[in-house]
Amino acid sequence: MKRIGLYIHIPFCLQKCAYCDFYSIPGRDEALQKRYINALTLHMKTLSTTMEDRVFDTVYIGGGTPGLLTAEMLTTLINGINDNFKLTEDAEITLETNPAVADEAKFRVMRSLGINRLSMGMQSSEESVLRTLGRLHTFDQFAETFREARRAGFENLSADVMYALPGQTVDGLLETIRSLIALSPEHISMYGLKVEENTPFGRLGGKLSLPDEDIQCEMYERACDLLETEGYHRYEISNFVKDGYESRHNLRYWQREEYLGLGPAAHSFVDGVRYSYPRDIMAYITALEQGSLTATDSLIRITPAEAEAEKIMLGLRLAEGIIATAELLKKCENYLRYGFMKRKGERIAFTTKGFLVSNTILAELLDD
Amino acid sequence: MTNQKNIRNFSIIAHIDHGKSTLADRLLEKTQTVSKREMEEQLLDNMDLERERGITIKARAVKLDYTAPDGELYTLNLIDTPGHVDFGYEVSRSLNACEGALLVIDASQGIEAQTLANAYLAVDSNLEIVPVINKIDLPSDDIERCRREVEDVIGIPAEGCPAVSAKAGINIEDVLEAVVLDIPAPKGDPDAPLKALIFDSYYDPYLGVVVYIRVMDGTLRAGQRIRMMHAGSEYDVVEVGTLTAFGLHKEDSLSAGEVGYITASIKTVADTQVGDTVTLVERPTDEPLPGFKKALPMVFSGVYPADGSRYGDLRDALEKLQLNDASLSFEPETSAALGFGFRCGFLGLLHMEIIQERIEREFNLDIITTAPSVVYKITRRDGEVVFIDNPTGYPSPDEIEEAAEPMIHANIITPVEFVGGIMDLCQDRRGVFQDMKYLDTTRTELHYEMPLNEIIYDFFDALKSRSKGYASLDYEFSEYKKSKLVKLDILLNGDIVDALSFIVHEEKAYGRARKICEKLKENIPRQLFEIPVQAAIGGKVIARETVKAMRKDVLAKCYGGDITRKKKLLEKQKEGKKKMRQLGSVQVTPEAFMAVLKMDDDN
Repeated sequence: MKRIGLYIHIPFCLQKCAYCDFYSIPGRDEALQKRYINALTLHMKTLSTTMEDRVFDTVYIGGGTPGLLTAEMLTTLINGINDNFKLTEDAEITLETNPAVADEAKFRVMRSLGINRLSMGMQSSEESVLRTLGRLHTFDQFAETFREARRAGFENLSADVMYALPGQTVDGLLETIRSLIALSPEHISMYGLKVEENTPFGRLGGKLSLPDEDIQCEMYERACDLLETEGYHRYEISNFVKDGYESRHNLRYWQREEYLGLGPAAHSFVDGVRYSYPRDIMAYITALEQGSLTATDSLIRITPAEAEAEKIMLGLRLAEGIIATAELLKKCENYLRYGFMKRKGERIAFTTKGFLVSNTILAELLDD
Repeated sequence: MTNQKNIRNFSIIAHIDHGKSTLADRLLEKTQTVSKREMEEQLLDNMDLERERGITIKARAVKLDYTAPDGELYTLNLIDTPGHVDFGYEVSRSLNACEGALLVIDASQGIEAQTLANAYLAVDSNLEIVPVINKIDLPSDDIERCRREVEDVIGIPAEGCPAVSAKAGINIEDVLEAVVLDIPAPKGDPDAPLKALIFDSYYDPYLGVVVYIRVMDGTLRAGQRIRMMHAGSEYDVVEVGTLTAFGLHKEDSLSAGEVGYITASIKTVADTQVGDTVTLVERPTDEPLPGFKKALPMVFSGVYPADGSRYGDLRDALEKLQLNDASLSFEPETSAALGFGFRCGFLGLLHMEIIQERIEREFNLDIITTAPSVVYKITRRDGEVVFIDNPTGYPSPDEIEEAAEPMIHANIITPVEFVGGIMDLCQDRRGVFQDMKYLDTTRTELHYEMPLNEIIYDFFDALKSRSKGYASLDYEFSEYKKSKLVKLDILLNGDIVDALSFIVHEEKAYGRARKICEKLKENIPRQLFEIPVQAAIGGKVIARETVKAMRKDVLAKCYGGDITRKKKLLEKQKEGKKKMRQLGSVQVTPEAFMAVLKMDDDN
């Protein structure tokens, strides 16, 4: 049977962070949340027949902040998944959460529902940086939540940190990483800040004072070194892991395996087609309540040429890189010579230096 | 046919912005040639660009029917002229088609460099000059000062000359009366052999070239065979007529003193050169009219499509523009840096800007232009004299016996308080002071001899910025003078970029080299490799900068399986790349080229 992953988007947050342009609605509208979970359940029901020939071996409940859903809502959601889709015994089931939105009791419920991996937003250990980002928690609250999750029985925990932030220094970033490593997570994601339009940061424009290019490079390089030294190896441009704890769901994206995405702004890749639902929760809910399904935003059948380009674009995010054709190898000659890439047998992969300018190089490689 | 004594042929001459076109509008309106309702603003200037810049690029003519207060009906032919120095020859031909000229002066500005230059042209053509003081509705007007200035500076009586507001429509009748009373009627012989002056022409896809003429002597009818005396070509006249505000009006004939058009299935304006004389093949005149000159381009520049695949479109655009502009010359050229393009010759800087703007606007083409160059006169060791309009073709120093560059006479009029700064500027541009005259207590006229080479970059902008916009400039070619010239090459990553080479005076080379390297450093995007930017004379590097290597670009997440963000980011990157020119291993944006061309004067 074909294997597939499931992504469920939970577009709720207590508050929007200053850098975030993902689709989520700030506030605590529990009635809306409930309606939304029901809509998701309806959606899964309509898909259960279509998905009969597939088995789900990863589930990722992302957002937003899914951790803020009540234990009751989470139960409805997971039951919905189990009622309509076949999951493998060892399915990786991840839920995203933020400090101080869930306590040990809720974590225990999650565990009992079969959720076996948590991804938590830490971002920084520096209080001033957290305030600049518009985060609602302190580092201590993060550490406390992290320990609660452990006590509730989670054996696979991941945390996000960010670099290239306004007011951040290289030392500050390294301190953040040390504080995190002290908690011994299995998985660490480290994302560089990308200022997006239509976010408070984006609106600040040039007034936002970011570390300069050289500092940003130093941050990435030194953080990678530190993580490596501490036993976290980089398996993707932004992801570090203790052996054996790679995010199986996220690997799907980079290895171009199938995934089904539910909810507004959720993306799917099924049967060679990529599509997504509009960023409009009410349209999504209303359509499902009326027994239909909201139209997709885009529906693109990936051509063989596009598939090849995607393989390069996505595969080169991985530290193991991709198997290079002779043609690609030729194009990469200079990058290999000047240390932007390295070759391991038939595979080529970016070096740290190359990862930092990967967008420029990819544009070059994919130019036809 | 109108009796010659009731014909008046006249031009309006003025400095830019002194209200020439507005006055022309009012005359059309007042003579009811065009009603107010039909009036498009500034009807005579019917090119978009002209309207925006407020200048007239091509001459136009229009016939006005005017009934004077004494009941006589007059035919007034208004011949519009370009107001800019680049078109000096065209102006002089238009003036030769007239017996008089209205000299429009802005009451608040007084006489400016172009007022003077055009007034002298009119005097040279033996025209009766009627000063018209304009903009008297503005609070800062100073009519009496203006009159005095006209009398003192130009030396023509201005007592009782019309003082008007073209904008507000005040005293327009006075202008019409002055035209009838002060400007003489033409005195040609309608029975003599035909002698007609070509003062403009344009290409019409249905009629072929429409030639604007002023008949000096003789009479011309459809069906007659004509000869262009300088071009030597012959045609059968298809149609003759007069020029009305609404277009061509067919007539049976055109006679001595009249202004009108002919069509004769002529395919290109290059065959109808301004200043040429039209005569009849059957009964030709002995001598052509004096003053014919072939329009010679003074400024050359390479023009390339920003997108190399649009070379063919660029050629079409240039061909179409040339149909109506015989003074535009172009021939194919190839640059290692910019690919296929054209070497274009222009009358001057404004002409160049206009053509470039029209290519971009009317033909929707993005273009890259190389630094403008003048024509250098090189005597080789073997005695051969060559004219070089492209730095690429500049001989190596050991082949050159003597190099000479074109000089101009510059005439600058400025309020006295800016004289110091302007003299410094002229000095800096290798100008040689000739004389200085006070026009009145507040304004001065400066004469310099300068190399044209120093004018074509940013002289005009620098002049404006040093005089808060008040100084005005006019210039004319004088002669070639021996000069110490060098060719400066720009190297990116060790390779010469041919499109960036230019000729410069030895003393200026170092300063320019340093500045260009700095400009390039600012404008070349960081790339994966460090890029040395060097300026060299004959292999010797005299300035150097380095574009540091890019170390980090934007990393997009692929969160939640949304790979569209990453794709968009890559598309954006590729878009940016498309706009860039690959020069060897270096990518350069068109902006970098432009930055080198637009050297701001910041000293």
